[in-house]
Amino acid sequence: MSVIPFERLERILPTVEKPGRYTGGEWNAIVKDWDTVAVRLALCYPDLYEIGTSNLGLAILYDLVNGRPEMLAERAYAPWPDMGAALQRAQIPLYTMETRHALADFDVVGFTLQYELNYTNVLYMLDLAGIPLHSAERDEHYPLIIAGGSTTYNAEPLADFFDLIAIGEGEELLLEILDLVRANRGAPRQDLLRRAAQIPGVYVPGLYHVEYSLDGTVAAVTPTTPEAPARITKRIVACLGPAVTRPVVPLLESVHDRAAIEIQRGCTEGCRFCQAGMIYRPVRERPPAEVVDAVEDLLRNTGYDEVGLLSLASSDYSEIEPLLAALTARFAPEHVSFSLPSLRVDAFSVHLAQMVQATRKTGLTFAPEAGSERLRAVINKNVTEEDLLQTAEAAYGAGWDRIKLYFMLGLPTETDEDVEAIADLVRRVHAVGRKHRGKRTEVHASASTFVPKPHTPFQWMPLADLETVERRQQLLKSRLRGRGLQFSWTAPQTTLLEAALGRGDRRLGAVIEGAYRAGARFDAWAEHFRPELWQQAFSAAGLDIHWYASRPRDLSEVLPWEHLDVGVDREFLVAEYERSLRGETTPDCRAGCHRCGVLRAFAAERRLIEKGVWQCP
Amino acid sequence: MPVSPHADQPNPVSRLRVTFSVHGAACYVSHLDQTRAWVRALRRLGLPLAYSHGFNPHPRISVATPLAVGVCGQRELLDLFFDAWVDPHELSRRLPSELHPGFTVHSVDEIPLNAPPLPSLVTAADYTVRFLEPPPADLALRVEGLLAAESLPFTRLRQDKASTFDLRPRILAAELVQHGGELLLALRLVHGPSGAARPDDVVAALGIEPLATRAVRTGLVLAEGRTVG
Repeated sequence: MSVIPFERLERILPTVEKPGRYTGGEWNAIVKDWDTVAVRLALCYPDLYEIGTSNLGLAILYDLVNGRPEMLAERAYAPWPDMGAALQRAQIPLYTMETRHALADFDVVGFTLQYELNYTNVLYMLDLAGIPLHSAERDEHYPLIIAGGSTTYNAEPLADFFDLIAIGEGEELLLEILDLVRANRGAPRQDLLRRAAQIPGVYVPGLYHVEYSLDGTVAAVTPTTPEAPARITKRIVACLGPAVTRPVVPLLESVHDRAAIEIQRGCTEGCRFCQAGMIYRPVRERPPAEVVDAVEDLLRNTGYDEVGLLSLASSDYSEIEPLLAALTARFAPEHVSFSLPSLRVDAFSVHLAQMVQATRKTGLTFAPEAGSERLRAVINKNVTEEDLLQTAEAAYGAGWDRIKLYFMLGLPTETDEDVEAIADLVRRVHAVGRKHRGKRTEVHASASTFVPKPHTPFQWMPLADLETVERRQQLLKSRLRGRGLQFSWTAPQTTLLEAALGRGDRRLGAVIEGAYRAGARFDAWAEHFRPELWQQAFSAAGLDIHWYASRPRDLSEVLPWEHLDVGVDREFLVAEYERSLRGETTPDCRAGCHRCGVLRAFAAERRLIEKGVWQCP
Repeated sequence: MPVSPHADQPNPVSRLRVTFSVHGAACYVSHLDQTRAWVRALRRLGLPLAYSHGFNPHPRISVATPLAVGVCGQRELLDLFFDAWVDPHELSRRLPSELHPGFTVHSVDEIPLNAPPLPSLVTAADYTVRFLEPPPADLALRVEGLLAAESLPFTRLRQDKASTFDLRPRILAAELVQHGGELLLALRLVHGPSGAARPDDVVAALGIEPLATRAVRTGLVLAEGRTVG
């Protein structure tokens, strides 16, 4: 056991940027006595403190585990490289915020994985903790190293490093894993893993053998032991559990410096590029009365003056209008404001935004995603130009000066004409604004680069040729000049890596490790991203980054993540893929079921709850 | 034009001055983060903190003078404005349960609403500097030399920006003291609109690496000779 004395830290804190990242001691942090619990979990976020403390998923798990008297959960984040170096110089292992125990002292170290460009930080954190990187090098004397989170739906590139991976929603699954660890204290690691593999939703990568075809594609993924199932179906909770109302409140300002409550999980719109829309099915809403009560507790327990109402599509929440009316009536006199992410492109959304933004009208954000009607049909973003112009009319008419529009470049079948259409659309929105707001009118357009993701209808699509994307960025840049117009875009270098890691197989473990050993970390941060390290790591492993990122995949190909089942049938994804190529749309599934497979996969869960809680018809 | 819903709100009716210390984790965040921690504590208590008018209302809280990140404070001051009368004793009694443990309240006093802004009253600050490594043997001589100098041209480096100024007039007092067997450097440094000296500046001017020392702000000197601390 090693607890790092605060006095030791105080010798290095003055030497690093933003030392408040490393002190712990936050309001509502839960500090338990280590001797009173049977299982100890370190919850790790493989990015900076300010990012990690804003993650609601980790906050939910922290709350649940600490709610169990026989368990404790503490938090750790990736130290910025200045602190990483300072820790190594001072020979201080990576420690948790609550009690400053070294990560190696915990029974379980769990990472949440939300973004492929955080992968090297997992190795960085294990290394700083003095824990061997490979699962195969760790026996029962080391903590069990586990992962969960949205990118684990293709966990393969990290298969070498994790002992087990929790597929799906962690609320119940994590507690089952911790119970198992408790019951098997001291058991040989391989025995524990074989038992863990029998928990539904647990994927033990080391118990599977991957065969490759001569062309380099996966031939088969097969269990090597009877305990491991051939397919691992994600876990879900039948309905959203109680909202976290006593979250950790950091002293240091975090990226989302506000309270957060999940009002809805999942999305019914069925955009074909969107991984969240596929992997978080079915849609479950939190009843409005429960939201209002939880917000009351949240505000009293945190002192925040802003609450984010989180969902993938705010405007789709069945009772959004009465909910906002209730919240603002109750809390606006106390100087509380509410934020709504992901508003649908329609006048109703402007009305909702008006309800929550009575004072400040800084800007409204909408995501038409593509410029032309044709391309929006391909991606199943069911928004017409008319919708957008009416939305602009409503927003500028209601007093907003600025509209932000999100687009993607490099979408399947995209042509220069589609890109010209973005510029036309932006200019038309601007013209609407001029009528109402005159010279104050602003339109900010931003274009990210589309990255095909596993478990979506576009999982077979290649990443667009990045030279073409860059040319189109320049095209838009030249077309979106002038007073009140602003254009921003994402750099393509990290896109290529994200696309390769996102749809990679197990062989990329050597690449991730090679890049990390050469110094790659914080790849999501422009100031730290070093593409040359990745190029070297790919070639050292004899692999081609473009083969992973930019190759069209055949429908007959075995995809490396197909043994991980999100409940959405392959047949549904194929049908959606084919419809996209024909330019056919699929309506929102609240209007009618498209048989994606989720209802069949989770029939048992659905029986547990009243009809109508899931937004499936 | 959108109309602020708070435009018709009355002006604050109560102003309280809090004397407090800052320690532990709270020393390692910026004064903006510290201020936010106070606002959250007051909101958790449900106290009627006043907000500024306008389209972007913010809580009316006024810190005497920010502490540098990494420096703890033993006698700091801030003013709070409320929309209703708040009993200073009640505030003093209730704050500890909701205030971040990195802050300790020493006293709360009622201040006339029209008293001058707190930051404008600060003229100097007192610090004690601890030496984490044995200081140079001739430290006393160096301090003497510093005080005897007519002027001390000094260049302060902060995030690639260098500013040069005369440090000497900003040092009001510098003295070595023994405290519980430990040698400390006690400083009184000018703190005002024309400029301020930081303890690190003096330590550097003495030829000592500032990272080998730790400064604590022990008090503030207010205009008209009033001293806190």
